[in-house]
Amino acid sequence: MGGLLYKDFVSVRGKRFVCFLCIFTLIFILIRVMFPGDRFLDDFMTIAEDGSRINLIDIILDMFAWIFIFMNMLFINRWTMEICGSDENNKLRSFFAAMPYEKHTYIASKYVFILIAVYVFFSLSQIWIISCGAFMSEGKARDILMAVNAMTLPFYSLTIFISAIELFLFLVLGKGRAMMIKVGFLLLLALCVIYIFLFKDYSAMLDKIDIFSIVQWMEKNSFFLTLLQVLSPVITLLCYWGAYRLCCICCAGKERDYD
Amino acid sequence: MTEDKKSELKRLIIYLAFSFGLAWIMFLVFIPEGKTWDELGQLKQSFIALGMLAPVIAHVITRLITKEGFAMTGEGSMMLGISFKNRKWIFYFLAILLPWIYTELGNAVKILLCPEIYDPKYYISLDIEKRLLLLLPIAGMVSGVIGSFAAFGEEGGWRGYMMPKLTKLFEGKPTGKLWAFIFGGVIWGLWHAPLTCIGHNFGTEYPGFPYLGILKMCIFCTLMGIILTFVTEKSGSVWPAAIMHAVNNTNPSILNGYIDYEKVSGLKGMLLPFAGRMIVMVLIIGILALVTGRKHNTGVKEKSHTM
Repeated sequence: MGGLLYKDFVSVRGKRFVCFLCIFTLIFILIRVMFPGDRFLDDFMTIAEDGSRINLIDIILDMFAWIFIFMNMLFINRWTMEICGSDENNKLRSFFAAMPYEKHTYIASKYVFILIAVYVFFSLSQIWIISCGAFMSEGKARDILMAVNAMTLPFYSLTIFISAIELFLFLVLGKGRAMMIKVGFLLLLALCVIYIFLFKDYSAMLDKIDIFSIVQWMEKNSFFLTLLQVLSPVITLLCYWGAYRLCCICCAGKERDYD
Repeated sequence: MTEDKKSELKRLIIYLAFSFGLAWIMFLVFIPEGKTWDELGQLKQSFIALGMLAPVIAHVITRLITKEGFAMTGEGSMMLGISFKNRKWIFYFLAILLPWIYTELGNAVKILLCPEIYDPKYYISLDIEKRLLLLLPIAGMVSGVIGSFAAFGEEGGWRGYMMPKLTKLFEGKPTGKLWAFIFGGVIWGLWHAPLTCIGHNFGTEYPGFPYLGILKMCIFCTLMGIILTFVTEKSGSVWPAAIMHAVNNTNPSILNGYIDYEKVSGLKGMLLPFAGRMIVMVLIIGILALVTGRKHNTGVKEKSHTM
C-alpha cells in the first residue's frame, strides 16, 4: 500500500506541491503577523451598509482564506482525475494486477490517498483560519471568519463525498467515460445557472442572501450547527467507505486474488 | 555508556533543543507581556497552540541533521504508517473512546470526593443548551479525530522520536522503562512551562503558582505519556497517540456542565480539578500493566513449556 501511495504522490508532483503549500502558508502567516487588523485601524477602515466599521485588511485576508479553502477542493478534484488517469495512460493497472498485492489494495490506495489529501488540506485550512483570526480586529470580519470556520468541516465533507463518486466513476468506467459523465453533469449545472440568469429574477434571490443574517442565524442555531459538524464527517466517511466497497464489487473482475 | 547510547543521547539533545527552542520562541514572541491565558481570547489561544507543531518539526530537522532517514514504518522509523491488521484497530478505537471514559469517570470521582462542586444548573451559566451538552463528548471525539493535526505535531515528536530514544538510553536496566517514562514525562511537562506560567491548564489562582502548576503538569504528562506510549508501541504508529491526545484536549465530558470549581477554594480547589482524572489514569495504567504483565508471563511460560 505504501508504495502505491507514494506512486500517486509522485504522479501529482507531491513534493513540489508540499513545498509550495508550506511556503505559501508561511508567507500568509507572516503577512498576517506583520499587518494585524487591530494595529492599522484608522488607515484601513471602511463603513459597511449598516454603518458599522470594518477593517479592510481583515476582509482581504478573510477572502484569501476563503479562496484557499475553495482552491483545495479544486486540487482534490484534479488529483482524483490525475491519480486514476496517469495509471490508465501508462497502462499501470494491468501491471499492478500482475503484482502480488492483496485483493482491493489498488482501489484502497486511491481512496486512502484522497482521504490523506483532504486531511492535509483541512489541517492547513485550520492553520490559515487560526492565523487569520488571531490578529483580527473585533467586529464583523471576525464574525465572518467564524462562520467560515464553522462551515469548513461540512465543506470538506462535501469534497470527500464528491471524490467518492468521482473515484468510483474513474475506477469502474475508466477515464474517458468518467470524464464524459463529469463534463455532462457540469454542463447541466451551467445550463441551470444560465437558465436562472436569463429567465428568473436572480437579483431578488441575491437580495435575500445577506452574509450578516447568515452569521446571526448561525449564532442562534448553535445546536443544529454542532450536530451538522458532528454528523457531516461521520455520514460522509460512511458514504466514502460504501463507495469504496461498491467499487471493489464492480471491479472484482479486474483484480487478481493473491491471498 | 556504549558508543551507540552516546550517539542516541546526542540525537536526543539535538531534538530537544529544536523542540524547546521553536516552541518557546513562539510562546515568548506571541504571548503579550503580563497577559494570562484566559485574557488572550480564544483565537489568540488557538494561534499559540500552533506551537504544538514544534516537536514534529524538530523531529524532521533532527533527522535531517543526524541523517537518520525518513522511514515511515519499522524500527527507528517516524512511525507514521497506519495498520489495522493483527487487531491493531483496537488501539485506534481505544484512542478515540478512552479519553471520554477517563474524563467522565474523573469528573464522577471529583463529585464523589467533593459533592459541593456539583451544580445541576451550572451549564446555564456557561451559556450552553442542555441538548448541546449531551452532544459535546461526541463532538469532541469527532473533532479530535479530524482536527488531530496539532496533537500530531506533539505526538510525532514526543512519541515518534523522544520516547524511542529514551527507551534505548535506559535499555538493559530492570527499571529502565520506568525511568524512560519519568524522564519523558518531566521533559514534556517542562516543555509546557511557559504556558503553565500564564495560567494554561490550571489557571493562576492557586497556591504555589506557577511552580506547583509545572510540577502538576509534569505528573500529568508522565501518566498521560505512559498511556500514549503504550498505544504507540502496540500499534506501531504515532497516530493513535495523536488522536488520543487530540480527543483528550477537547475535554470530552457531559459532567463538565455540572461542575463548578469556584465552590471550592484553597488547597482543595487547587488539587480537585486535577485529582479525578489522575486517579482514573493511574487505574488505567494499573490495568494496562496487569494486562501486559500477564501476557508477558504467559509468553514466558509457553516458551519454557516448549523448551
